Amino acid sequence: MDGRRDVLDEREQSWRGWMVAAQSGDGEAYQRLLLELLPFARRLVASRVSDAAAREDIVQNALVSIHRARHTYRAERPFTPWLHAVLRNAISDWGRSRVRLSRREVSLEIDGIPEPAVEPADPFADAISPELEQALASIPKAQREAVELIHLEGLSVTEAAVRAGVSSGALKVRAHRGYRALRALLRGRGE
Amino acid sequence: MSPSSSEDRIRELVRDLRPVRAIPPLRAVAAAALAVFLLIVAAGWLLGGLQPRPRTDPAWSSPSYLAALFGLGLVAFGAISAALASAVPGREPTLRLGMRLAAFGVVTAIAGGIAGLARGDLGFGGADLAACVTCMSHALQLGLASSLLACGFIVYAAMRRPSFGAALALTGGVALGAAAVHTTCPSDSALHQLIAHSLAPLVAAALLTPPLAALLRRLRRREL
Repeated sequence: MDGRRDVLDEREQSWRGWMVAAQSGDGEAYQRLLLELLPFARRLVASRVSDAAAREDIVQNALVSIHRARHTYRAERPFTPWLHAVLRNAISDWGRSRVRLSRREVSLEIDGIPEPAVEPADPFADAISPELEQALASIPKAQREAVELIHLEGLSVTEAAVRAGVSSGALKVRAHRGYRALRALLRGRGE
Repeated sequence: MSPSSSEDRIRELVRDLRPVRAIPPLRAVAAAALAVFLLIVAAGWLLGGLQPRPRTDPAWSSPSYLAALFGLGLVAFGAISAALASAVPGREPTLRLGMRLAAFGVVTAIAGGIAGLARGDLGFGGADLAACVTCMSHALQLGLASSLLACGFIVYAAMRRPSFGAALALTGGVALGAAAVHTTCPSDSALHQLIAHSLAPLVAAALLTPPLAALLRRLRRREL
């Protein structure tokens, strides 16, 4: 028991020291801190979020939050509660954005916008430009699958969700992320 | 989120690293907000606009009057502490404690006002309404600088919910102002004290939170 506490104390001291060094601009200490935090953050997010596809996004958001809020850590205070709070906030932000997103998407369905239902003989032949194909190849597999099923193969959300083996909500989230990533990539190439 | 891995993200963040100055302790910011308020009150007193009730005034021995004053003090302390803590990760215990204190203060101030009503004198005319508006605007003028100071800290720290932070900062700052108004207002009307003093922080928060929150969002975007 004492041994475990010693390990935790040691970890707390290291993280605290690296964070203080990072606040004064020490990149090496900052990199060590973030790399050490990563497995901890992944474990914590995995224990609270059941959607496996979203976990890495949340971890990345949490890393950005740590970066933006690093000046709110004060050296005389314990580091772990600060970190826990940032991770909790990242998880709850994700939860809120998911609720917002699903509300928006449901309302579109209610509005009666028809989903593509016609399946062309070669669904990819006339739909994809080389740029789009390249962009599609560089987004995560789960997001790519969602975009392809809905917008290239023309399946309904329900059919696509069955095909992908996930819930409709999860598929919508993946597709939305996919569109966002694609937009960012294509905009980046256009500039 | 971009398709890069978390390890890539870390490399980006390390490249983006700049030295930062850690936020000041919350108690130092709270003390600064109080100091600003006291300076404004002192200026008002020196310029002759704010004159406290004389020591011999019977209000000083009235439990309902003192309860309202005590309640406003609690609201000010609790709401400003909670506003500051709401923008700092890991300070949730302070946030919860501040909100509980503020809620208790609101109940105490309103209970004091209602107890004062038991003395009778429930008449309320146009002149009373004008006096209420005057006292509320004085409370706002006296407390606004403290609210804005708290808001400045919220934007500089890690603001998450602008409306929540703005509402707490306004409630706390205006409660400070209302406490000063409570000790200087010559009116002995319990109804006036309840509406214009005890409820002033809540009224100010209800009316001014949306524009202040919009301002905080705008400032935050500029910070990022």
